[in-house]
Amino acid sequence: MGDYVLLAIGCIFVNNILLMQYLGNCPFLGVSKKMETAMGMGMSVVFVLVLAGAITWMLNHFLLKPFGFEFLRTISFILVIAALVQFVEMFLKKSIPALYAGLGIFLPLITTNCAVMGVCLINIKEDYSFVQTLVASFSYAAGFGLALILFAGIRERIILARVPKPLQDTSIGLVSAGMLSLAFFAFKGMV
Amino acid sequence: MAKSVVQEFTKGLWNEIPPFRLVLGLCPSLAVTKTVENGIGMGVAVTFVLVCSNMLISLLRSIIPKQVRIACFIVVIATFVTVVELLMQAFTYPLFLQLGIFIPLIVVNCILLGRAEAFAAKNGIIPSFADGLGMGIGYTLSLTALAAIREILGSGTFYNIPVFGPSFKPFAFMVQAPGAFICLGLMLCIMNMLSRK
Amino acid sequence: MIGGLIIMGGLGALVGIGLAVASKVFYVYVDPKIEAVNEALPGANCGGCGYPGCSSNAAAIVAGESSPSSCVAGGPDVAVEIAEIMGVKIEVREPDIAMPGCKYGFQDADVRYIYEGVNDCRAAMLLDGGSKICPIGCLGLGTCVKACPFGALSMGTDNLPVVNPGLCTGCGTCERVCPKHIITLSSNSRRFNHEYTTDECSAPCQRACPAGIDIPAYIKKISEGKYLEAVRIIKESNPFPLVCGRICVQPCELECRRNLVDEPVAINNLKRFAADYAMKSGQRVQAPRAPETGKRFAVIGGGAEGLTAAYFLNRLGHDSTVYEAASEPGGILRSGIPENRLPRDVLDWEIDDILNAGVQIITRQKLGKDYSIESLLKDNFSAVFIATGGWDTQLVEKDRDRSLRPLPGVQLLIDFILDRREGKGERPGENVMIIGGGNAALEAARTTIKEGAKNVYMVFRQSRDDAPISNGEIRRAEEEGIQFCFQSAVTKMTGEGNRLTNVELAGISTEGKLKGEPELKPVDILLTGTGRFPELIYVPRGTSDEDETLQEPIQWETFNPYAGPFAEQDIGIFRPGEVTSDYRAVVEAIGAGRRASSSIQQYLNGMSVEAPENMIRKHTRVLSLDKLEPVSELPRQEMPHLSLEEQLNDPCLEIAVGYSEEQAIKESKRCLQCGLICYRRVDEGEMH
Repeated sequence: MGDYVLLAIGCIFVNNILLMQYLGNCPFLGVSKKMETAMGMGMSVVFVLVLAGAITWMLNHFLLKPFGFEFLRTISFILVIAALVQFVEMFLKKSIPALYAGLGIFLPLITTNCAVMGVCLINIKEDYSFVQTLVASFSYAAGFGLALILFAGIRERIILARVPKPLQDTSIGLVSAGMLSLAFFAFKGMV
Repeated sequence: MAKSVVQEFTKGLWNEIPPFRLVLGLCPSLAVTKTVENGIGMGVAVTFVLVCSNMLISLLRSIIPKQVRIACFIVVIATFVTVVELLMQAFTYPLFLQLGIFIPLIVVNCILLGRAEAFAAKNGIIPSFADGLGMGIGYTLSLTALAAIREILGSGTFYNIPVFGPSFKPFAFMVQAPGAFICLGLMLCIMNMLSRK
Repeated sequence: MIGGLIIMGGLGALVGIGLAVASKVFYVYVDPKIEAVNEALPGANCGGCGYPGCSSNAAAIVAGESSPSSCVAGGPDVAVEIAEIMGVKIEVREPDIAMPGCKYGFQDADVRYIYEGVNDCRAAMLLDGGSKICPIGCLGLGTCVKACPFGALSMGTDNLPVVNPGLCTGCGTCERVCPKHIITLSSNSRRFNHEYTTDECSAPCQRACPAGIDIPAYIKKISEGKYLEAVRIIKESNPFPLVCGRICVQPCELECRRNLVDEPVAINNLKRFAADYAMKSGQRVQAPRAPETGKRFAVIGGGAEGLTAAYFLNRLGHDSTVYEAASEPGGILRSGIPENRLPRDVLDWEIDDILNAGVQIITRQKLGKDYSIESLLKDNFSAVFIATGGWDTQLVEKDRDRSLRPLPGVQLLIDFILDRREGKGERPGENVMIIGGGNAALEAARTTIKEGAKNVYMVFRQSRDDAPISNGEIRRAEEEGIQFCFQSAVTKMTGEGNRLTNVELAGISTEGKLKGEPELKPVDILLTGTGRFPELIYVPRGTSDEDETLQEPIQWETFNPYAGPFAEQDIGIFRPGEVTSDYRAVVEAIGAGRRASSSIQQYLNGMSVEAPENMIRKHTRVLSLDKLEPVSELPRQEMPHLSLEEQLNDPCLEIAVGYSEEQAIKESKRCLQCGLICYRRVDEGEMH
């Protein structure tokens, strides 16, 4: 049990996927201008990442590995993730329209979110067990959401500030992301 | 015609140079630019995939149904990424290890899908080739520049060759994640200043 | 190699089949129109349509909840494109435009502290609502200017935003981003329908004006020599500047801040000067008109109230027709005011102005004889407004035909009693309702019971103890079968053809607010204790938009215009203390007419007909001042009058001659251009 907690903390804070692993930065800068959209994106990523983590683990362990086709990992993973996102979108639209209304517009963006693909690959690389995969996927996604929401809070404040023209928008966004990343540095060595 | 091909090529070098003008493909720009070697390696890999996928998608654009185009683009891109992955594994193994999961992650690099959707799916094979090559080279240049700054300041070397004397104390912050963000942000700022004139 | 192909092929097939099955299982029909509309929209996601983004507006347009022309950023081209997709005609949309609502920048306003923080209004707002004392003062940091997606705003030298009307699309981004909601969208229609609220800057004179004229604005125009502009501003609230300029009772001047220093600005004389100038130069100035809507409205009564209502309905883009019983319109203005106070040619010019604007008038037509509410509704009028007002206090008519029933099922109590005394009149029907009146009402109630009425209701706004009938009488009457409804008001009548069928009765609390659910009672005849018919708007009922043809007999219902700011109570058709259309002042009738047109517009827009919640009423507390400084004394310009001799020579000549241009300019410069608490500080030397 302790191991899992440690793993979770490691994934959320120490190896925060956005700020330490540099994954998923496009949506990080794209949807972090408003708190609501940041929350929506965070939730969607948690949802999809856990599912994707589980499915790609199974794909890898039951199909690719036994037959020695690990070189097909990239293409098969992206295929499965794309299909999964599409499936989730259809499923939500039909079954839970309320949730779809909240997450809907973020789902298509997730296919090309490298955090999802990245975490799936990390899970395989680290040779996690199935349960570890689930924990890690969830924690990484939670870390993604946490960083996104923190960052959205910062950006909502930045709007009010007098930023020099060339530094505006993405530029100041990246610089403040750097500061946030610096703050997360403090977690290093915790686990 | 010839002129427009040149234009398609050159726009990727300055007017729409990724990731500065087109804020796409940020993750690898941040992750692999610790050293110039990595930066160039990544840039070349992306360029290769970009050129190939742009051409193939441009060829296939009339037979791909609109509804499933994204999925098809991704499969095409993923195929070339796998090719690159295997090639690098075979010929530049140390670099392959250095870049790690960022090679398979070229698949989800928004530049590729972005160019496929915005350009290749609407244009012929020759302009698509020019567009892919221009964007790829532009991306490589950007990565190299970013990597150069980070490597020189962060490790005191350029392409693994020391540039300062032994007394130089590396500015280690630059090769870490925060340095990457801030460095890219400031470069973006400088780009904005230059282009405003 | 082959294995790889099998795996990828198998995986691809599996995923493909899985998705295909899933898309069937989880199929949700999405109207392809939504996608098409979405493509047509500009994708700026500015939110000007009132929906969170272009795609939600697309869904709303296809669902019919939003108009094809709702995209303000896209303009007419996009509207045409969407209308084509939807296969509908587009209504032309009246352009909205941003209007800054603050008149005094930091240099001229009173401030509590010097703000030197982040250069953004939203940040400044966090510090106790900004540094100005006025709670609705512009913070002047230009958040709206930065937010404007179309570059239509700039910052003026006085730290107030300036709108470039050519660039403004009316998207409303500035309105949403302004933390004080000071910059707002305005259009001509919105100004016609405007009531002063606690959320905006208004001068005391404006608030006191029953018609709600923007007084400081037109005086400013006069001081700049733009007299026609001044008339246009007046006409946005009052189509009778010539008449009002002569006979208005000027409640505005009582509130003028100059009273604190010397004498009030001669607001009304200035109005007369501007209007006279327009008349003498032969120019007909009109308030702007909204795009044609194709709706038709009938106004019954060609007095000040009816003409005003018809004028504003016309300005809102509708067709309006006035029915007048006399041979000439004007009502009491024509017959009740002496020639030497209001010359006939002046009145005629003013009424011609209204007719020139496009108002139709049909004279010598008597409601109940030559036409009826039913015949008008059958004639495809979308609503009929009863503005018989003070004049139709029919008691003043000598040869009145009491058998006429102008309003279906409504009769004056006095007529009913007079008929009975003469042994005339038909039997009242089974269900009778009597509103107000004292013992006369009781007498009528007993008569109806004798004549076979089954249900007789007596409605009082007062409680049982305060009713104008003694408690003993009430008890006896109850034993006789009369039903009493205390603390109640009639809020609506419904009927079909020329018959009244039901009356909606609502309870009112002692504070004058609605209490409980209104209840519907079947009523055949309604006797009203007042001496006149109320303002009422008749509209057809039970027709849907697709089915334009009305069923026979026509179903109708009524509603009443919302009450103005000075009304004591605002619930019910027969509300007491409603001074708007009494004889008291023509300007009150004008205000009531404008409010009636605004009420009709609210009804058309599907909104509930009521005054804005934060409208400044009689007892609303507004910031005010009790001293002015530094404002130097300046004598008021005297109105030149005819000498006594001249008056005797020709008693029809107008006594008050009117200001000369020089006088008008001098007088207009006395105006302090007040805001809520700001005003122009006039120094001693400025005037000389």
